[in-house]
Amino acid sequence: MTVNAITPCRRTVNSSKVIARSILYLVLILWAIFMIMPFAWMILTSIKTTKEAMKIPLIWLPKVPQWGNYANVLTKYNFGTYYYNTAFCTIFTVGIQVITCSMAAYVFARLDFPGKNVIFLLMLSVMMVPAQMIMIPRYVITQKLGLLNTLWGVIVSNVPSIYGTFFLRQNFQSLPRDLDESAMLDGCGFFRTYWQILLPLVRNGLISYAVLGIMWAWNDFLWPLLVISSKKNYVLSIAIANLQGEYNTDYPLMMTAGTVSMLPILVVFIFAQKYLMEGIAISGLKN
Amino acid sequence: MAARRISVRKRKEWTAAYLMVAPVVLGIMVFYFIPTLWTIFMSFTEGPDFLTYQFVGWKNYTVLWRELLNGAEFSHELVNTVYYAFVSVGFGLCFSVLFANLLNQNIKCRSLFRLIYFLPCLTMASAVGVVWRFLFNSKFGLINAILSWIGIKGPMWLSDGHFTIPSAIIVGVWSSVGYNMILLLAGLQNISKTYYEAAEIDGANSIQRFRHITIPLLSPVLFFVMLTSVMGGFKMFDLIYTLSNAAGSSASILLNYRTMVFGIYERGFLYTKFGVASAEAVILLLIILALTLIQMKAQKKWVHYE
Repeated sequence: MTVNAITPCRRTVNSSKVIARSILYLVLILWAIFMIMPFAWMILTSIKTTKEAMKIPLIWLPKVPQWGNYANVLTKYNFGTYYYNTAFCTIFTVGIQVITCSMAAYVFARLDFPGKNVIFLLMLSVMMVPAQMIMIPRYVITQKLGLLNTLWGVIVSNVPSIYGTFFLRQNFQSLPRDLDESAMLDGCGFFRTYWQILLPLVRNGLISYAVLGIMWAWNDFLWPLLVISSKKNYVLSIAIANLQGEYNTDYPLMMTAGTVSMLPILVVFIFAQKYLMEGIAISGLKN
Repeated sequence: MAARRISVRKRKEWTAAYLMVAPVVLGIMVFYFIPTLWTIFMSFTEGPDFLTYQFVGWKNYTVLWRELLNGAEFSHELVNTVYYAFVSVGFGLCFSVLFANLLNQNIKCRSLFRLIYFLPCLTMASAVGVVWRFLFNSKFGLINAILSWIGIKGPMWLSDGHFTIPSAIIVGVWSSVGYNMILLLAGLQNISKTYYEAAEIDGANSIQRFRHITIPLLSPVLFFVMLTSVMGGFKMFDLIYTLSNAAGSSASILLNYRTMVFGIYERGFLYTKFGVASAEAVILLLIILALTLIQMKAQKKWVHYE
């Protein structure tokens, strides 16, 4: 009797729970479709012929997959070179940034010197100024440095990072001060303390910041658009915009270029997902 | 003796500090601090190239003011930027809060969903623009095809002035929700479960729990997301550039897309009107500063720091 009395009640609880769960999954899946649809369509189109891409009504799959589009983009349209250029800019921007910012971060976290507060204030004061708004003088300075239309012109002005310095400073501040002091007692100088003792300990923070930096540097658009003028120095982001300008209706070509441009960053992401998530999380929680 | 030893150590510390901080400080000076002052300075000048100039007082600003009154380029830039920024931040926040909360439930394949939601953030904005331009195509784009299956005749997304900024907002939300969601998810995971358990015992339903526990405890991260999203919205350029096919579209169509950064870019680098471009940059900077200050003031009312 008691069992009979309880069962219907439990069943209603369960079924309302089941409905709630199904709605939850339905929403999650619909949003996932919205997120993924453009990529799916991009990849499907990348292996179609131009005619198939513009067919009405739409067709999902090409008759014969045009894998040759990829070879074409990489060789005939020089995306091999653009890969190299983008990788060059990304590696040097992020590499130099991580080293210089971590040095400055160590100094701000640990050392005292006259003028520290002035410099700190100075950095805070321009932290709110986005690079896009001061691009004209930045362009002139790059020109005066003789770096226009070079990859180093893209790199040099992107290296100094207030954000990176503050991001890494957090990491140094979380280490106990005893570490430095015992290193100093053992005769380590300031630089060696930073390089050999502390830097290995903030490794996770460094990698997190580097992964974020790789993502930003790889995808950077406006600055290379201004600095680089000849095709041989294009990076992927402006090469794609340029393809759009020249071959406005060759959709398979542009979709192939889009797919190609995102593959390496996707690989980085899959391997370094944990660090990237951590990096984003830290950047939000520290405020 | 002791004092002397300390001073030697101090001097060593200073030297090390200056040397190690120099690359960043020099870089910030050259590529941020000087350019900021220079931009403000240039907004009061006029000249044929970057370095030859004469003072013109407020003229550049009055040029923009007149454009605003006449409904010329600058008025479109201002309206488009504000429209884009506010609406995309609003929707972006709602969706990222929603999906951060959904992913914080006990669900299967959570990391797969997280990966999929984050994919758009990995893609370069110029490629995003190219892909969505194809999707939005009124003749053979996927979006209007899907709309026609359910009996809706899709609009001319990319050329009808009523739909260009909404299109950009859809794409902008699509590509930014993942990043903010990760931020908020990290914030949610920092909230101790005991609060929810206590509330449940007290009989709070899920909406009450969300309103009285999640929102207050999440508010610092929410505030950060809001601050960066507003700034990001006002800086909009990359996506607009390829979504509008800026290199190949007519000026009249571009009017429906132009944002302020686009205006700075075009005036400065295509028409070499550095003074007016700088004036526009200063205006944008002031808008961003004002909005940041307002948000900083307002946060005292709703952000709870533990």
